[in-house]
Amino acid sequence: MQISHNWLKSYIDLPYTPFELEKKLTMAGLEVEKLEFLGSGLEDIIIGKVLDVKEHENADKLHVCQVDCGEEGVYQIVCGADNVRKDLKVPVALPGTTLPDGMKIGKTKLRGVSSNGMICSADELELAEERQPGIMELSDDFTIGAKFIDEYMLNDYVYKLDLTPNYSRCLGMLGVARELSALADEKLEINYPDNKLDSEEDLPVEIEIEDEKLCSRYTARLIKGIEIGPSPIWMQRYLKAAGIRPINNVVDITNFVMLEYNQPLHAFDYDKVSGDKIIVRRAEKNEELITLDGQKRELDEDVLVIADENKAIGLAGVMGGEETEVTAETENILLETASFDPVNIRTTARKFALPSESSHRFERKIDIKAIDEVSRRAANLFVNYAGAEVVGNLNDEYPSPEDKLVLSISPEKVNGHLGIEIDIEEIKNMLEALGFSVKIQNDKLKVEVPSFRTDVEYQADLIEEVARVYGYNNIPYTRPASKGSGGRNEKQKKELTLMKLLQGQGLDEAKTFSLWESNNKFLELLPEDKAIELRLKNPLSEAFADLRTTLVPGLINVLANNSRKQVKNMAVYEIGRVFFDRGNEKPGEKNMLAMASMGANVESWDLDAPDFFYLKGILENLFDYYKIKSYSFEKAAYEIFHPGRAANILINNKECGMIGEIHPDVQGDEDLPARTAIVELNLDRLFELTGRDSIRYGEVSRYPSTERDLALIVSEEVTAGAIIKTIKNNSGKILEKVDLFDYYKGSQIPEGKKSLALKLTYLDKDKTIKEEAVTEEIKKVIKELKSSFNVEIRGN
Amino acid sequence: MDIKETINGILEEFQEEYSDANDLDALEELRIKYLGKKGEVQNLFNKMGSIPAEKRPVLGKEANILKQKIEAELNEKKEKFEAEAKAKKLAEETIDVTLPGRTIKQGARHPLSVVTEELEDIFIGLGFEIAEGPELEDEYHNFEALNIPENHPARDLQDTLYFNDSFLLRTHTSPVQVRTMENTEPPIRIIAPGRVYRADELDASHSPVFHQLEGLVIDENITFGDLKGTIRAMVEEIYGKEQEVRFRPSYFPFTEPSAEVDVSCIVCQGEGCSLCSRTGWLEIMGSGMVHPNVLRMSGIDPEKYSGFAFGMGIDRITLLKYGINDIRLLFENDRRFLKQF
Repeated sequence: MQISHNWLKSYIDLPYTPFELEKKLTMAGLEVEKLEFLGSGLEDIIIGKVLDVKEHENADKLHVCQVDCGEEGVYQIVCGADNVRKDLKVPVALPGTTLPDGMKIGKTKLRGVSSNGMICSADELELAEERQPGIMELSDDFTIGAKFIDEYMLNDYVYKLDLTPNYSRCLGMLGVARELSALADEKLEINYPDNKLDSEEDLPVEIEIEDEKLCSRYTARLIKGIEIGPSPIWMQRYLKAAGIRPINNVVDITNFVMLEYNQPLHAFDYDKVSGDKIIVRRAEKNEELITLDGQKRELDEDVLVIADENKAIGLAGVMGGEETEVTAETENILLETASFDPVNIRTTARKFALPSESSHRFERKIDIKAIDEVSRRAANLFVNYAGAEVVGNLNDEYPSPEDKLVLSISPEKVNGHLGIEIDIEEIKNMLEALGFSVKIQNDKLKVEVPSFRTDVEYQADLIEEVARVYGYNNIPYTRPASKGSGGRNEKQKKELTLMKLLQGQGLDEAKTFSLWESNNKFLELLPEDKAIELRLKNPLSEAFADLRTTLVPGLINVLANNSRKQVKNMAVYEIGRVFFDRGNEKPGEKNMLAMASMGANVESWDLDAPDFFYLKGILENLFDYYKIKSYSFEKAAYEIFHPGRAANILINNKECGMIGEIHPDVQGDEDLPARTAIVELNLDRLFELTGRDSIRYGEVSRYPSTERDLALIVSEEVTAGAIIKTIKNNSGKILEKVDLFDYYKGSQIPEGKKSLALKLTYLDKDKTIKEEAVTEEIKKVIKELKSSFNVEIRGN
Repeated sequence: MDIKETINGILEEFQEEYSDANDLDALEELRIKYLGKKGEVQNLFNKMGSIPAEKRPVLGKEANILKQKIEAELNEKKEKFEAEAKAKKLAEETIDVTLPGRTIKQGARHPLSVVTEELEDIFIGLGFEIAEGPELEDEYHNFEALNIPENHPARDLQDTLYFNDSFLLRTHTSPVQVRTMENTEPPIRIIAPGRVYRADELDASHSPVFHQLEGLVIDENITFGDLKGTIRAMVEEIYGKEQEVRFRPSYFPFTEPSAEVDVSCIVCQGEGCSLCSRTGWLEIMGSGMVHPNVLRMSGIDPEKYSGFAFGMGIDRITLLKYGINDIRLLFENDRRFLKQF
């Protein structure tokens, strides 16, 4: 909704400057999005009258004009426009004036003739978008020497309001005036328009409402002997200020009244309506209607239409039909003022993608009781500004007028809800100022809601009204009495700790979109359960069309984007939600942790170039912190990963994630350094399986431990994991731990073999461990390793 | 043989060599030469048997004196040399204390996480717990239970991304309010930070994926004043005590009365600038008293209980806090950007 300051002032005597009013409106809940001065840049343009035009002696197309600029005097101005002529009133920019586009007008000579100023065209004043063929021709009643913006009604401010749905009453100027009147420090009187009609002839129109639910009131009035022409300048200026293009007096009057009262009106060319009966009905299946915009619309039973005896002539409340459109030849009109069901209007407007000023208002409910007044207002204007000769009576079909809504509320409720102390009389006065009728009965307020307050339904709505009048900012600050201590739950604490652990390990935190582009290029390279497309029903664009099923592609993109910007070293993680298919209508959600790293030795990186083992090490640290005892890594193959450098992560033998180095092909395509690695882990599982919540102290042995090194050569395909597992399985409880401290392949080791060096630590909690016991253990282990893996023990 | 002469001769020789001894090695050589098992002093004792018995006590006494003298002198110089050697070693071990430390460089938290944690901590201090809910919601929890019926113009306020006919990506964190009320008896005091989705094109100030923080307090006798006090406490923590706060009427279907909360512009302090579109105020959150319909639908008696709710954009607060001018930077994850937080 856009409103003009001057227009508003015609209803209410505003004691505010435009900037004060802007604040007033915003603080009343009518948020001003933008305030604009209409005459901006045109302040110095004045009205001139051409006294004389002579041809320029040295130029065919130039005219030498004498222009009367009132008190400023008479100026000689050379003008190139063909439409310049004697006695024309024109906008003049005198020397020293700056035009809206920044051009400064000065004294000049054109082919030897001096020119003092410029006669302007509409586009030069930025009042027309396209280049105009000639200068602007002003009406003869404009005052010579006066400011152009005053005469042309541009000395006005426009407020662009961002109205929330509960302020539908302010979609009309009078509604805004009413708000300001109630919320002003001193009550401001409203000058309602004088809608008196001298005579109304009895011109019956039969109205039949077939569906009362969809149309609760329909009125029609015949107006005869119209003379189509332009509407008065003031009306055109107000409409323009409101963002509506003036068309002709009939259309402009319906729009003008709509903007005054927030009640859409429609004028049919009565001579094109068949018969003299108006039927408000649901459309028939496959019925067609060409709307005002020239589009043929296929209707169905959900659409409410206005019909004559033969066919539909308008989409009720949304748009009229082309056939009955008011044209230059129209003489008699049928003026419709009605009330339609908000939901039905909304669905129809959406179905045909036809949001209009009219549908917007009906969707938000109009003041059904004001319909007759609105019709009278329009009729009055038709008489005054469209030459209407005969005004018919109001044919009013209002089958079941609604009861007035009366709400009862106690002052205790109001005060208790707002945290203020005001007495019942004060509340009464506040509500009455807003147009409510209030009675006090048994210490309670009986509040009758006026018909224009379609937004007020409950006690809470009245409380808000009191709060608005009282002033939100006058309500004292208090705090609710505290009853609990607040805090994070266990899961939330774990997540926060995790972030800090990862930060300490040198990883940066990333946040990526949880919506993907359709056909994500990484999708088919992912494990089966993630390689599914969860497409939105109504994606805004293909760039954000699918729900993410994993954090992996997001992090690859993060690394790739950095790499392309010459950031070649990075270790990053993301904690976030992903979606998974559960085989039913609703995908599941789970929380994941993903980490990714890339780097090269060329820059100073604190560690070696990060690879699989860099991320694995961080993961092991996490498992250590979260007291995950039983985890393992099993070689795996997914296309996204290097075939020889990827694994599944298992906790308690259940798959919980995957880790690997990016496949060299992907790495090449994405411009990533070699050994770029990524891991993804199911965070919900990690937090579920953590042993941190049940830590019990285990006694520390007071006896010394004994270490033994074991160096062995074994076939390449035997994993270190298998060796360690075998050692553990074949040792007694005196084996404290096994650490791998060297891994070697190459010279001095036979082809197809590798060398592993392990440190075995033995400890007895109850006594100093005996050499012989350790030797026994080692023998047992070596025997088993030899028989299981055919290992060769070095130095033995 | 004159004992005294012999001893003096040894002493003189020693002193001559001693004065030439310049390091610990030379001293050790001297010690061996004079005090060693085959040294000069021992030789004197060895001669004990070959001299007359009456002279033996003299020899013994003089030889011991000699031994003590040599020992004393050797020790004196040894201590001096050792002290010098220690000083030299320490001097050699001097480091350049301005060389950089050896460390794993700290990672950086994402600014959104930093701000979220800060907000959470503020509300935890005010007695709030943290609630969570699904991002894929049903229509009921995202709209109907919040007093936004189908075909209500309020649905225009948010452009919704649907997954299918029944489920949608939550357009706000408010469904968490509903889920909390459904499952908890008052008193309730929760915040719900989380990711939300709208059908907005990605540009400098909009993103289809962004973050909100919702708050809900339900108890007996909760007032609009309590709402104001709680929000002001949070604003003072985030923006500083000197910032002004104002509440102005607004509309949210799930609250009544509803209020938009503005804070005086952090750049111009109310003078008017481009950040605040010259109004002097920055809109930072929506709030209001929970609508009785919302309470009723979630099984809470509006006659007994009242409450307030508020919701703010975490992304917006983050942008304001750090002076970031483009929301897209939050999702680009440029390392040079992340490292600043």
